[in-house]
Amino acid sequence: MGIFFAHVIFYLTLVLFASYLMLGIFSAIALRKYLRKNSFINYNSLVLSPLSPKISIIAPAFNESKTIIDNVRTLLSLYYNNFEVVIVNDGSTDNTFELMKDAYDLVRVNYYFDYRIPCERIRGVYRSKNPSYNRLTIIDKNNGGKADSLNAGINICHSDLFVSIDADSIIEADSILKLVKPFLEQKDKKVIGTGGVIRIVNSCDVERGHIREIRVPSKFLPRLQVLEYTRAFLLGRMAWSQLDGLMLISGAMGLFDRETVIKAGGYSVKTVGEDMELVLRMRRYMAETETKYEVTYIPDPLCWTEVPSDLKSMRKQRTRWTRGLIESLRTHRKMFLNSQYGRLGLLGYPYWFFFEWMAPLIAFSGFIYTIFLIIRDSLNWPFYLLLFLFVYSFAVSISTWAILFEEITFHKYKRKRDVLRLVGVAFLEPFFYPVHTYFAVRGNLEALRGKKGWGSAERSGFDKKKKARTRVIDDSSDFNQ
Amino acid sequence: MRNRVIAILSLLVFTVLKAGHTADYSLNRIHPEPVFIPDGASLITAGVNDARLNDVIGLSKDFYPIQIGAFRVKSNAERMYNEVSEVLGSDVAILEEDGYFKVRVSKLDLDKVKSYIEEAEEPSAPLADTIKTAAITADTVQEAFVAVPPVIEMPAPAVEPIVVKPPKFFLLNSESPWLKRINYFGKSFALVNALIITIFISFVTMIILLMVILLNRRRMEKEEDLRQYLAETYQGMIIDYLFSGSSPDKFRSIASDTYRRQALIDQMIDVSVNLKGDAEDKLSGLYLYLGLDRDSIRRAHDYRWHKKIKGFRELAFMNIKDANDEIYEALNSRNEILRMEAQIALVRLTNEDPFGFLFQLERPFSLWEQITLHELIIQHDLPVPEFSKFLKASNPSVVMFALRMIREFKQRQAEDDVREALEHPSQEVRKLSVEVAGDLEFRSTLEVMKRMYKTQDNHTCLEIIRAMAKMPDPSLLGFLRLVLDKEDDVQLQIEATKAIENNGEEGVKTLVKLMKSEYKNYNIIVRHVLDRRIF
Repeated sequence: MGIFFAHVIFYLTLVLFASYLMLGIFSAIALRKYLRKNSFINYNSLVLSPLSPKISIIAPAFNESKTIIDNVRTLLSLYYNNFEVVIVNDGSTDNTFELMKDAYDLVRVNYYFDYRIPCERIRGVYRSKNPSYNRLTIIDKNNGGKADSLNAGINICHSDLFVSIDADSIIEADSILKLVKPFLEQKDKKVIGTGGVIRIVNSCDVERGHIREIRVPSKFLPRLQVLEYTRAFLLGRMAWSQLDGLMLISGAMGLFDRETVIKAGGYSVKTVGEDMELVLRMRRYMAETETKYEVTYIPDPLCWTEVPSDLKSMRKQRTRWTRGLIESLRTHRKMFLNSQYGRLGLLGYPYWFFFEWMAPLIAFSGFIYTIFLIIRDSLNWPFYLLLFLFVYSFAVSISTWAILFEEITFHKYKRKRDVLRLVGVAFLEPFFYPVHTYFAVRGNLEALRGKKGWGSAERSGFDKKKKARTRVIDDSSDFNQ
Repeated sequence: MRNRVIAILSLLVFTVLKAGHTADYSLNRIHPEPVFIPDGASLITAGVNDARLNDVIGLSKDFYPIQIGAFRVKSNAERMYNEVSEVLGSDVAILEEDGYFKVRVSKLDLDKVKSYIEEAEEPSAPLADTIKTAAITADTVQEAFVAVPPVIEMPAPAVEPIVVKPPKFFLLNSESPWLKRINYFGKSFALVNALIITIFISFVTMIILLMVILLNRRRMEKEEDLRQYLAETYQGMIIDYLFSGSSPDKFRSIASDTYRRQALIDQMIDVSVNLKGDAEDKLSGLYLYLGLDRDSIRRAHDYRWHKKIKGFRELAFMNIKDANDEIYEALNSRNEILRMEAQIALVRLTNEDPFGFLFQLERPFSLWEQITLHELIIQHDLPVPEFSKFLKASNPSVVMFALRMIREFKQRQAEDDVREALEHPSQEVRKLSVEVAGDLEFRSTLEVMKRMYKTQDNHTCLEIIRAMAKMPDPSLLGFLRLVLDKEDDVQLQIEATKAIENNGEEGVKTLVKLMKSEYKNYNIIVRHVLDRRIF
């Protein structure tokens, strides 16, 4: 039994590594193609063009009093000409709404709308008396969570395309231009959603909602996550997009076709993984209605978000991600190895099932088994060391690839020291893997116990001046980045 | 003595084979010293005969127990004991002596031993070979299969190890002290070596990548500096040439170097954007004089799309028409960027009917391409054609572009054609036609819109009502009221109310009536429409 188990772990590791290699290759191809094409694109044409489609930017906010004013200002100054900003105050218990009301001179309007997607009661819709803020709409509603707030925003907004973002994220000024482009490239397939790269803002210099200087985080955990995000976004999602198996557009920022979202039923309020669940449901809807569609992904950094810098917050975030993953996979289990859903059913879903859900569990039981063997004094230490070196060297190598991809593509970290720090973390990261698996196991246990909700996390603000203070905010922004 | 050893080793062979495994007898606890065989003993090199066997059996029955293993750890001795006794079915015993746990056999049965040996001596596996194999397999067992006389002390000559040469490509072989200890997945040499090779490759890759990362950084910085320097220098030279009348010959040396030539071309293109008239012609003259057009034409014919694009751009800016055929071919390329660049180049390079290529477009003319072309017209102040002629194009996306351009350039003379486009087979074209008709207030389209309302999808219906709001007409009040009454869609209701309200006094009267209506609660809709902060 022990030998069989060891075989399972070993071969799973081999398949996982092989899949990483394949994803790396696909990602390199897709990145090269994208960057080459992008070098001929002039996004400025879109900025002033009267032909640009209208876009609604929907940002749910819950107890965001520390950053909301700056963040709304950043949103209103985005580099695009035809957009509206819809901030959904999700029943904040602090003064988030009052701050906005004062800062933007808001008055309640007689807004008539349809609950096309069910959501919590909307207490009021507010607009500014100041014409400078005529792009801004604020929705005040009962607390219902992030998904519910997004649904409220979708009900209220009018444009055909909407961007869902986290109000506490920092958006790159040209992010809308980049996100909307796939929707403008008319193909035989309908583009239903586009996602992009999310970056980590910890330790960066932020001033009034804009990033002044980009730095690698000074603390170990956020730095570790920089590497993780780089790998996930530049290697993983880019490749899955190329393979038409993309299952997740990060909740921190994504652009969607509003009508398709409404027809698919909007965001699910029953899961904490609403971003993944939405993509799965939209794709399922399109496949079941036999409509040709596409979910695209662009490798440009679009949005910067703060990640947990202590283990406790990280645990909460990761266990929530695991729960979200399980809920999404369980809801759409019909897609598993189902050719009706194309490559998503045959490749994407099984990959997430085996390597995102099951692999940490198997790895965790592997750790337990190893401890058992050590206690029994029957661990084959030389072979164990050999296997460890194999896994370690491969993991570090893959991380180095990711750093290289970042270097030759967007080159966001200008200082050599920052890159060397990332490389240093790549060497340490594999030792942190047991902690990740522990979080995954906890997430599974929570899912088994039927735990719901987001919880909260300790975070520090973006602004230098505010960094000294710690605040408690909803950390919904980080789901499955 | 020699004969005895022969038989004993035969037994060992069988024991080991029959037990089928030697796995964890020792790990790192085996007897570390050389194996000794008492005086006269040696390894088997030939078969076993009856006489020799009798000898051994006799011995075992009388005084000589046969020792088949000695271990420092008792559990290992016990494991061997269990396996041997299972196979031999004879008296097997463990005794502790000189700090070792020794496994010994006595009272062997002749017939049984014979049958073991027959089994072990199959033609395909001669005994000697089998022994070797077994010895390899049994690497963890102390090979001290000796008959131990109870009293006589004998000198113990060292035994030569049995050597099996592994294939050369393996990094580790059977003799490796690593493999001696490794027993995983059947001690596969291939697996262990594959792991070692992968580890090696991974580390080497890592080091190479690190070097690439660091060197690439330096290369990029240097390249950027050089590019900046060349750009500034060449721009100055070009401006000097254009406006101070300096000689073109100083560009000759630049044009002889491929990298610098490209930098010069890029600068000429940059400068040409802001030039008109004589200066533009003079720059084109310099371009031809230096033979740079040949580079651009070669690039336009390149099989790589990104090279082609560069070529198209250069030719378009320098107004060189020699590669127009190639550009026409690219119009229907699968690559949307190449298509777009071909369109831009053709608009710039075609004197008569620069937009004529639109009729040749077979692929969808994307909104992105339309935006780019529109920007080109505006930025370069190109002559605007009568876009209504493109409403007849077979490609619906071209028709949509024409509709958009009619709106942007306010070509009101296209009213009749737009009205016709309202009945276009494509739903998207119909919707856009309604939008354009509304924006340009083509009142003659109102009746058509009213007629077609029932047969359109929700989006087009919404646009029809919006268009009606833009062209207030009291004769439509009844129709709008009907929409308000019958439609469930909130957006349609709001737009219909807006359209009613836009009809001035009559519209307001209708709204007042509506607010008193008991058929539906219109108050909330009307309040929404009358709130000027909502748009």
